[in-house]
Amino acid sequence: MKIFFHFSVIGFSNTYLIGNDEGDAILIDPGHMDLQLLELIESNHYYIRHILLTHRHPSHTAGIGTLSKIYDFDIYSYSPFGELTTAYHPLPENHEFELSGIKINTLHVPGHSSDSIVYIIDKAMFTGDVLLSGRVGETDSKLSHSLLMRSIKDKLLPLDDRMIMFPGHGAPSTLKIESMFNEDLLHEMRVHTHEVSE
Amino acid sequence: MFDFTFCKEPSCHDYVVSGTDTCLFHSKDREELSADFTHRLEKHETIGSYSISGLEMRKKDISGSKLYACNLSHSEFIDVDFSNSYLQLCFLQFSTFIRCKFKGIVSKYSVFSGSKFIDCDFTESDILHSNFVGIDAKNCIFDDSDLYYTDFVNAILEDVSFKDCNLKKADFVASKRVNVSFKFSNFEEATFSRES
Repeated sequence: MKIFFHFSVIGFSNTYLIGNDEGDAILIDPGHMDLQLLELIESNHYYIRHILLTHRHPSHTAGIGTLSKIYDFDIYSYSPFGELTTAYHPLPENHEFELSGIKINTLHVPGHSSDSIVYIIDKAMFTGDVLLSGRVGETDSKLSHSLLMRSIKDKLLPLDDRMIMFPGHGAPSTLKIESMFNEDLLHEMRVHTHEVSE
Repeated sequence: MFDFTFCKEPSCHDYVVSGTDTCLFHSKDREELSADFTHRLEKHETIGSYSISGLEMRKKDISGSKLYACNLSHSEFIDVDFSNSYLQLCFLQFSTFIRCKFKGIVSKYSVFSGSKFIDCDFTESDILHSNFVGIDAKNCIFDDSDLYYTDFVNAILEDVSFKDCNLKKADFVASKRVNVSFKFSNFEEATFSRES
């Protein structure tokens, strides 16, 4: 399995290309389809068989239309993606499945959006906008922020901290780094400690 | 990517050295593996998908190295010259760098988090989408560098110079900065506060 990183200046988002030895590939969050992404796919002799979406925000999905004119793929996400004729597969929580010989696990981690899902492939986790390097994803209300923090604490932090993290925006990281230095997680912990001590 | 297999030694949590079944610490061929890897770097060989964490390197010139998707975490580099090297998707977290030269490096999607940097020089480098979260840097220079989308969240920066740098989308939230200069840099395009 090989993992490639692509950054799109439109939406400032990361797209991940994951390929197997037979030339079949998975794209995670194609936020924009540009020449660089096409060159990345083609120069490595991959054919896009599957697209995984961490959530349905445009900066993570806008490249699907153009990609569908080039490749014939299935789309996987937590909530329906109905605008296209492409085959769509809804993913349940804690679901283990295999695509092109690559084992994938899902974790539903709502808060940034109600349909946010984290994909775990081997010792790599693709967190979309749930968990970023040093920060957590943006939320539109106190309730959503609270839900996001609780979801991260309950579902992501108990995982193996050697897990490598590939976020939807910004630099890669590891779960250990985030548990030690993520300012939003540390801030939440400080607030909680302060409340308990009072 | 490098091999995600862990060391066969019970209770060891480290990744194996690529092509072996133990981590560097538990390897019987520790010195040979380290020397071989260093020699490959000195020869400017392009190295991809290789893991060798816990490396110790002193007084080496590995300038012009090319590393792709490699894991060199928990390592110690003293008086090592990385100048003009290319690092893409490399993991060097929780390492120590003392008097290392990184002049003119290109670092993309690479991770240096939790590392200690003392007297290091990163001038004229392209350090893009890289992770310096939680680093402890003292007397370091990043002048004339492009730090686009690079994170310094919770970093401790003392006597560090970021003169004439591109700081667009750089994140310095919760960093402790003592005698840090951003002269001629676009610091207004960086983030310094959680609320912004």
